[in-house]
Parts: sequence; C-alpha cells; structure tokens
Amino acid sequence: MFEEDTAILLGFKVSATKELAYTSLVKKYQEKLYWHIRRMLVSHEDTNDVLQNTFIKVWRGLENFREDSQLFTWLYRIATNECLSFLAQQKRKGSESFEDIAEAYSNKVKSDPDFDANRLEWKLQLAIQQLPEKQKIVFNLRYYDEMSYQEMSKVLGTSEGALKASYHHAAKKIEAFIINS
Amino acid sequence: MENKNELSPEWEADLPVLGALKKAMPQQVPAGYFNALPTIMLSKVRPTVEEAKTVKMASMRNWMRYAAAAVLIGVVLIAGYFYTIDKSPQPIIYPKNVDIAVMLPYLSDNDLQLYLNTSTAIAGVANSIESNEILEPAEIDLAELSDEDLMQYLNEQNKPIVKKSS
Repeated sequence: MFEEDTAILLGFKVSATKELAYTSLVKKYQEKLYWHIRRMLVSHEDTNDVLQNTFIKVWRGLENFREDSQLFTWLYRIATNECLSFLAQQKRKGSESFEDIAEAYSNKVKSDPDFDANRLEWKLQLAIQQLPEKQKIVFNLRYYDEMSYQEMSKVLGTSEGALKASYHHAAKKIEAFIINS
Repeated sequence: MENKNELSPEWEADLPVLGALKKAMPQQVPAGYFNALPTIMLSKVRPTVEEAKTVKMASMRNWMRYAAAAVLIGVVLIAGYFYTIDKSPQPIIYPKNVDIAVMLPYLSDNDLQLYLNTSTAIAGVANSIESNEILEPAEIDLAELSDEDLMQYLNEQNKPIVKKSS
C-alpha cells in the first residue's frame, strides 16, 4: 500500500503496481472527496455517482498529471467540476429558478431520516443550501475542508481576493439564516 | 491543508454561530460504503484497460459490416428476381397449319402417348382413344361394308390406298 502522494504517482506509472497505487489513492481520498461532493449534492446516491465518475477520470488522467501541482488540489478540481456538471445537467432537465433549486435542496436535507430542525448542525445544512453554487463551494472548502485561499485558488481558478470576498458573503448569509430561523 | 484558525481573518470573529459549531456532518453514510468503494472503482476502471485492445475489434467490425451489407444486397437481388418473374403457367401454343401426317414419323412413342393423354383431357373421355372400341378383324363382316367405308377407314389409318386394276 502506498501512503505518500509521490509514491502513489510513481506506483501508477509502473504497470505492475498501477492498480495498487490507484486503490491506495482511492482509499486515501475517498472520504474527503465524498463529503466535498455530498455537501453540494446532499443525496448519497447522487454523491456516489459523481464520486465514481471523479475516480474514473482520475484513472484516465493520472498518467498525464503534472507534478508541479499538488495531487489533492487536482483531485478536488476534478470533483468540483464533476459536481458543477451534474448540477448543470439537473438544471437543464428541470429548468428551475435559483429559488426553486434552493428549495429543492432544502427539502432533500429535510428528507434525511436523521433530520432534526432544532439541531444547529442541521440548520447549518439548510443555510448552506440558500447560497449560490459558487459561494457554496467556497464556503464548504474553507469551512469544512479548511483549505487555504491559495489552494482554493488552484482548485477553482479564481483569485484569492475574490475567494475571500465570496467566503465573507457566504458566512454572513449563513449566520443571518441560522440566527433568524 | 492549513489550519483554519491560523488563516482566519479578523472578521471571522464576527461569526459566533459558525465558530461555536462542530464541523462534523450530520448526514450518515451507508455502512461499509468506504470499505467497498476501492474494489468497486477498480472493477469499473479495469474494462477501460481492455478498451485499448478493442481497436483491432473495430477494424474487424468494419469487415463484418461490409460482409453483412453484401449478404443483404444478395438477398434483396434474389428476392427481387423471384418476385418479378412470371409464375403463372404458360399457355401451350399449338402450331397451326402443320400437316400431322408429315410430322408423325418424327414423333416418338412417348410423344404420341403424351399427346393422346393430353387430348383425352382436352377432348373428353368419349372422344379419347381409350374409349374407342377396337374390333377384332374376325368380328368384322367385310361384306357388309361399302367401298366408301373401307376407303374412309384406310384414310383414317393413314395408309396409302392402292387400287388394283381389275
């Protein structure tokens, strides 16, 4: 089993250890990527689909991965793009307004069998669903994954200043939502 | 990744609710999901390795496509031929103004038998040769027959008549 990213990348380049290296990568990053996707999509089924697509793309693209960027940043970028593609596809199907989509995702949160409207953790989940997509991603990466703005900039291709502003707006909206609910 | 507390700008202190919250997600993941996923992923990407070998299969598929097209064209042509040919029975054209007496020596017994059978079918049993009674020569009283009857009989038998001069 490969532990370090550099060992995974080297192992992937050798055909004899390629599958072992890939399995090591999946084991190492599956939980982080799963929750990154699930915070966006809410449902486990959708998350599973998008996560599997993400790892399939990782398999296809890992040989061409340029080691001048960090592996986890590259993985987050693929997962984020897969999420956004999935959401765009859903929008095309439903052609709903932003309010309708926010309402639909709030309902998904409420439909969870463990949902408890009095618990702050669940209120936070509802509050996150009120954010526009980009703010939602920025908030999640910063708040839950504790990613630096520099790393977020590499994942999202946005300037650090814009990301800071986006996180600030998102956090303020969430505070207001929780306090008022 | 860096620690959030080290990175938090001053304005994050104005977010008391977020600061007080635990960051754990309240949703659950199905039991055993993360144990099974690496194996599932490996089984999903393995066919991708096989896809590289399908390049040869693609050219084979082209060959099969041409063969299938050739077979299809052949079937269409054969079906078209059988569809367009006239399947109705052709009418028998009998030659006109033919002297049977001239043709008779050239016909085989089989041809004659075939003709007689066909004539039976066309003319009816009463007029066919099968219905004709053939009298034995002993039963014929030649004295009762006139010369004309005899001449007619001989003509019917297509035999040359030679009259002896008395």
